[in-house]
Parts: sequence; structure tokens; C-alpha cells
Amino acid sequence: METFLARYRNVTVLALALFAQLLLLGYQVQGRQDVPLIRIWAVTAITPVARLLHGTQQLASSLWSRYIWLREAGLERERLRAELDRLKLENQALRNDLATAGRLEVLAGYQQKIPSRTLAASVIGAGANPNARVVFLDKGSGSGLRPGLGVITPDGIVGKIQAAYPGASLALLISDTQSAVGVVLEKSRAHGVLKGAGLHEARIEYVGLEEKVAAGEKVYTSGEDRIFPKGLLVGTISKAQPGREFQDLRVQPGARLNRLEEVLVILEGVHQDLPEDLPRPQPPVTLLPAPPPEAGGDLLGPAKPATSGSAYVPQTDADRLATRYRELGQSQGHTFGHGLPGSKPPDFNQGWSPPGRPAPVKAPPAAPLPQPPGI
Amino acid sequence: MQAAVRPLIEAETSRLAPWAAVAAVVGALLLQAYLPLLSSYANVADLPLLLTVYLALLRRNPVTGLSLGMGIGLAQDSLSHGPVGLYGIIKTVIGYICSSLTLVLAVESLATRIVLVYGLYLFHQALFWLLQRVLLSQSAVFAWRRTLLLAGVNSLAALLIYRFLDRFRERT
Repeated sequence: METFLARYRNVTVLALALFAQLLLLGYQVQGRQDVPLIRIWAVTAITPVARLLHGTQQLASSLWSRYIWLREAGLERERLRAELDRLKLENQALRNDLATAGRLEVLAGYQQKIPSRTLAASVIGAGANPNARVVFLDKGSGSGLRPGLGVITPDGIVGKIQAAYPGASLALLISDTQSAVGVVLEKSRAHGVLKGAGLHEARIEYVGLEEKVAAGEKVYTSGEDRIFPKGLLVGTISKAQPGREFQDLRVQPGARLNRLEEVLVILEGVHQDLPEDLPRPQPPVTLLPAPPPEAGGDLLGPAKPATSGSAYVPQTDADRLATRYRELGQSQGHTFGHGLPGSKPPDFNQGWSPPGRPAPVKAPPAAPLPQPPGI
Repeated sequence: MQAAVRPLIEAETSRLAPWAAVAAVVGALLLQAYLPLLSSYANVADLPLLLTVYLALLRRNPVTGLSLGMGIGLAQDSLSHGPVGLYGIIKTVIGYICSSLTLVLAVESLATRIVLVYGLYLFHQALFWLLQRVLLSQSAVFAWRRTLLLAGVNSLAALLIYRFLDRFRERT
């Protein structure tokens, strides 16, 4: 036996090794169970080395890609730079669109607010003459524009149409030296003529020295130039000082004349009142209460007793006199304001008698007046 | 008392340094598990098989050869999802065959080793297919063309690896 094993030692070991592994396989296949111990040993032994290998590979890859082979980084940088430039342009375009939308919204709101009929137009260019203050609008005679129409913005008036072409028009700004606009000052209500000063400023002429004008006072159109309707904001007094014959008044236009983009052209102007929100210096006035109604009559006859409700009750002598006259007119069939000059007036002495004497003719009772007197 | 088979060629003249052998085995197992993460083509080379053949041819002892094959195969099984013992059986046989061949063949020539690798790879795959069908009852398909092609690829890989490992051989 010993001789047999020695002779076939290699084959015997091989057979034992194979048999052991076959048993191992059979154990796993038949029992459908794993042999975790062997796997745990192998994985535990291999994992640290694998981790080291992986870390080394990552480090080498990182060094290679970040510090040695930078071609892709350069390409990536160029691509990102181009994308950044594109995004900057896109962002700027979106900002411009947003600002334009905001301006157009304000312009549309202002267009609805004012009573004048207007047409929106965009400023598409400036004049070639550096000394002239003009701008080109994108609407022309084809849109109904004609020379002499006023151009405004919500911030203030801009100028007037000087020339209208089929697809565009030329507007003369109020800062041009050839421009003249009738204006009225907010507080003093003094009238003057706004003339361009050549820059982005204008001046007001023909305001007397006796007018009290201070810097900061607002200036509105007076409507006297037949171009701008009354009541449109022009600007603010920036400087006020007495001149030789008139005051020297400088006006900062409300409209940004150097950065115009959208404007309104007045097709049909409608005058409007000046803003009434200004604080007017009014001294306090103390009024006495109305005198009590007299029981008897006076020179105009007996006073009408106060009635309840909304019936008219004359309070002053003038009211009573007017009431008396109206009653006399109605009793005699006369309507005040009618009839040609020289026609017979009503007899205002009818029914009146001197004190102490009876009246010769009794006047018919007067009907109560539904309206306040307005002769 | 005589040995069962007397060597027909010269005795063992050189062997791989122990640390180099351990490092080569561990490296082969690691690369076999790690390289497929980098490229799907990396698993065409069976590095544990190539190491088994190389080490077994050097030792010229069938018991040592089959032990090496069994150890490498079981380690390969442990790092795979298959049952433990499948590659162990195959590589045990491969190690035994290689070590036994050294007793009757001169395997020092690199060309001889490459031819051996080609044939042993085919045998390895055939045995793997057989064990799968017989022992594990799995419906494995033996792709002849692909196996022949991969055998050539493994032979080329063995040419490079063996030349590299020969640098660490020690004369005895």
C-alpha cells in the first residue's frame, strides 16, 4: 500500500484535490448554500490592495488629466468661454427686452390716462447735425403724422414734429434753440415761453420780475402755442434769478431728451387742468355764522321760511334779492336772459309798498325754486 | 524505490523569486477583477491561467503545480460570483498537466510555452464548459471561433507577461 501511494503520489494528490473541490461544489450546488468563509478570506485579502490600486489609478488619472494632458481642459475652457459670452449676450438681450416691456407698459398706461389722442412711436435715430437737437421717429406721414404735432413722454414733453416722411418723421426737441413752447408755472401761474438752450436744458422767457419763482417749481404747458394741450408736464425749474427785464429761468426737462426710446405723438390735443395737488398759500379765514332769519319783511319783502328737506333757503341779502327778482319774473312771465336788448324788463316794484302803506296790488305767490340762483 | 517518472530533461535550473511569485499572483487576480472596470475588452485575457501555467512550468513538480493551480483557481472563484471550486478544479488539472509536462518536455523555450498556453487555454475552456454542463447543469455554449481567437490573444499576452516575469527568475 505504501509502495502504491509512493508510486502514484502525484496522481493521488491530484485525485484528492479534485475530490475535495468536487465535494465543495456538490455542497454548494445541492444545498444551494454558499461558502462565505472562503470568499471573505479572499475578499479581505484582496480589498486593501484593490483599494490601493484604485487610489493609485485615480491619482495617476487625475495628475494626467489635470496637470499633464491639458488639451481637453483647454478645449473645455474655450467652449465654456464661448458659452459664457453667449449667455452674457442672451442675458443682456433679455434685460433689454424686460426694460423695453416696462417702458412700453408705462407708455401705454400714460396713453390711456391722458385725454388727448396719441400715437406711440419709437426713436430710431438722431440728426446728423451735432448742433441740432432732433430725433427720428419710426412713424411718419403714413401713420398720420404731420409737421406741428407735439411729441411727449410720461415724464414730460419732448418736442414737435418738424418734418414727416412716409415711414419716418423728424422731431425737434424742446432743447433745440429753434424750439418755443408756451408754458405756465405751477405755483405762480405765470406764463412764459420755453426756448431751447442748445444742451439738454431750456430756459423760460418773458416771466416778469414781480413773479415769485423758485428752483424746484414745476412747469406745465399753457396750450397757448396751439401745439401742446394745456396741462402737460414740461420740467422743473433748475435755476431762477432776476434778469434785466425778465427773470432768467432755467428748466430741466422732465423727459430724458438724451435717452429717448419710446414717445407719444399727439394727434388730437385736449386741454386739461393743471394739477391741483400743489399747496397754495392761503391765510386762515374766519367767517361769522349766518345771521338769523328775520321774522318780518325787509326791503325785498318777507323772507322765505326755512323748510325741511332740500328746499332752497336763501342765506344772504343777495340771495334773497335774486329770489325776489326770480319770483317777480315768473309772476310776469319773464325769463331772464331772453329777449333782445331794449325789450321791456319786468316790473321789479310790483307788489312793493313803502313801509306803513298797504300794497296796491297783491303779488301772486312765488313757486319754490328747484335750482340755486344763477342769473 | 524509484520515482514514478524519471525526468527526461535537465533538472530545475531556475525559479521565480518568492516575493515576485506572490506579487504576480496577487497582481493577476487584481487585474482580472479590476481591468474590466476600465475596458470591456480587458477580460479576454485569463491572467490567472497564464500565471498558473508559468509557475507550474517552472516548478517541475506535479504536486506543487497542482497546488499552485488549486490555490489560484480557488482565489479566482472567491472573487467571482460563481460557485467556489469550479476554477479550482480546472486550474488544479492545468497545474498538474504543466508540471507533468516539464518532466518529459523542454519548456524553457518561449515558443514552446506559447504553444502550450494556446493548447492549455483551449483545454481550460473545454473543461470549463464541460463542468458547467455536467456538474452545474448549466446550458453553456462552447463558441469555438471565439475560443480559438481568444486562445491566440492569450498566447500573445503570455508572450509579453512571461518575458517580463523572466527578469525576476533566480538561478538555483
